[in-house]
Amino acid sequence: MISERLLIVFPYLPLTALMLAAACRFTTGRDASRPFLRLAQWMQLATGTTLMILFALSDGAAWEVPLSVWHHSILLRFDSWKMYFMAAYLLPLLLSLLVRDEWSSPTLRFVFMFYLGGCSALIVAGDVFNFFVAYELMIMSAYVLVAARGRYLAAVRYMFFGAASSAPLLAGIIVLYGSSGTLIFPDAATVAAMPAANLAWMLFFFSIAFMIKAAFFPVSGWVAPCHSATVPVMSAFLGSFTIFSGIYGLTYLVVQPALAGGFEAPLMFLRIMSLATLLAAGLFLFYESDIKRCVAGSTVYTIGGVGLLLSYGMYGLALAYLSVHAAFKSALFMIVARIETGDGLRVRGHVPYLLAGAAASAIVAGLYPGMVHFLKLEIGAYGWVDVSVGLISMGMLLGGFLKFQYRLIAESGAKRYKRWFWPVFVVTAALMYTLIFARFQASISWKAILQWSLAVVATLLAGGIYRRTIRFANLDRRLIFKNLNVELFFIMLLLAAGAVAILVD
Amino acid sequence: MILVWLIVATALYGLIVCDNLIRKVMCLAMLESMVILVFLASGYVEGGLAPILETGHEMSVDPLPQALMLTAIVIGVCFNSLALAFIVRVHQARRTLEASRFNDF
Repeated sequence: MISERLLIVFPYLPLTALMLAAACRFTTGRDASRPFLRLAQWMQLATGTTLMILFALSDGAAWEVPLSVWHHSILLRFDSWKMYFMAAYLLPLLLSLLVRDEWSSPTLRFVFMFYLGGCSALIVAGDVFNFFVAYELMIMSAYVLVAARGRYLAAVRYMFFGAASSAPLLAGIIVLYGSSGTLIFPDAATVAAMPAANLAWMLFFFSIAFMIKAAFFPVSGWVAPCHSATVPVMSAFLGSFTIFSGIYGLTYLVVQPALAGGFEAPLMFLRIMSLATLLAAGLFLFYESDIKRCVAGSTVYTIGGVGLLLSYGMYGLALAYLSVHAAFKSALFMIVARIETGDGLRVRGHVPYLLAGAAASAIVAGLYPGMVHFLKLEIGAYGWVDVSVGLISMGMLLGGFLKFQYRLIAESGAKRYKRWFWPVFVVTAALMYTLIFARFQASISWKAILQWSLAVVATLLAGGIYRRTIRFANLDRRLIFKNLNVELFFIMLLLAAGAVAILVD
Repeated sequence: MILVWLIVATALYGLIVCDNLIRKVMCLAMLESMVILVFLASGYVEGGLAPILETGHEMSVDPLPQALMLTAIVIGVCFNSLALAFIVRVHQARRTLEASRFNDF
């Protein structure tokens, strides 16, 4: 079948381009990495889009393609959830094709092709070991690309958290294989056959591993400095896809088995950590003054939101949010790259980009309710705590972007642009709120109106509150953990919290 | 298993307490080695032989963990070499490897 062949070919496209470019360089001495990279990107875009169209036209049953007849062979898989991850990968890929090549050397292009190969293999992985290998290929390349601009400390920090998440992932794979004799993503039958204690340990290890990968609170401090350290194309990929590989793992290896086994504890743990992540992200953005770090840090907010929706089993809503975020984040990183310099934000001559960015934000935000409506995604029940935390953190997040503490380069005419920012962004925020309110509020009640009004007021007041709070509390402008040892200690806290939540019964 | 847990605890302690970046990388390597060791041990069958096809032998250890952990070992080697390369660059730029001295992580 053509779909099976495309599924097999898809991850090999960038790797084949890499081999050909390397062969060209070593045999002829000429650098052909740029055209081969572009070719691989276009072919992947075409292949991925074709896969999505073919799956959408099919009966919706998952495609499983074993690469050999051996029962432990590599398994490739594509299903309805992977459509969203594919979209989250193809969107920054498309944007990267629309901008000029930013890699300063052929070596970095080779590494980028490895990175694309790892991402693609991750999407089509059907078993946990294949997932692990693809993830490590992707993340090793990401470490090198984060250091591409000489930001070695950011890369080292990224590496410590990546390695710390790989150990519990391997431990979870051990428990899965030891209990079930298989490496395939556990389904209901596999979960039913596992002893309860083994299932608890497996869910514990996978929860810890993927929460660290996805930068849940309290291990989310590395996201902003690491994602903003590299070139904009790579920042877009990191913020749109790589960090969400943790969500991918949570979906297939924690939430689905927990729901299949009737195990509530991991879901409650995920819910609590998601709420904490939402608040932490809002707080971080409220105080951060560097716009690239704000854009990078807002990814943590999305992670909290997606995790919260997953903990309620609302797969469709969570993954649709993830794919819309991919478009949003990629566009934001590209726009910020155009206006941001080492000294501040260069506004003059770039107002169309800013206005386009505001308009794109509103359109993309409106895409989410649209997707929910047209794909008929189920909205389950959620509690008042979830709504309140979501609204407070959304208010802080928008307030963080709207506070305008960014340095504007003092050049003639720059100051007159500043007065346009408030109207543009307030209109954007109002449009976003209206669209989300219109879709998610099943009925208009006084309580709902009050909640949304409070959120809007909090957003508008955020600029004024910020200045007073900074002066009153004498806080550092950047709430980042300056000590790596403290951040690594938080991994222990997460381990302990997970053990208490999942293992103690 | 007790020894494994002791070494894991030591590695975690070292990862948090050690200020030197190279020692942190060594602790991560220890952690990953212990996980690999547990996986290999889980495939052991008492009285089993090496999983090489010969006639007359019915019991062999599980070959899958060994094959999978080879991949994990290779990944670990790549990680360690990359981390140490970056740490060398950090030292060239900052003349120190103490994590507590970096305030712009």
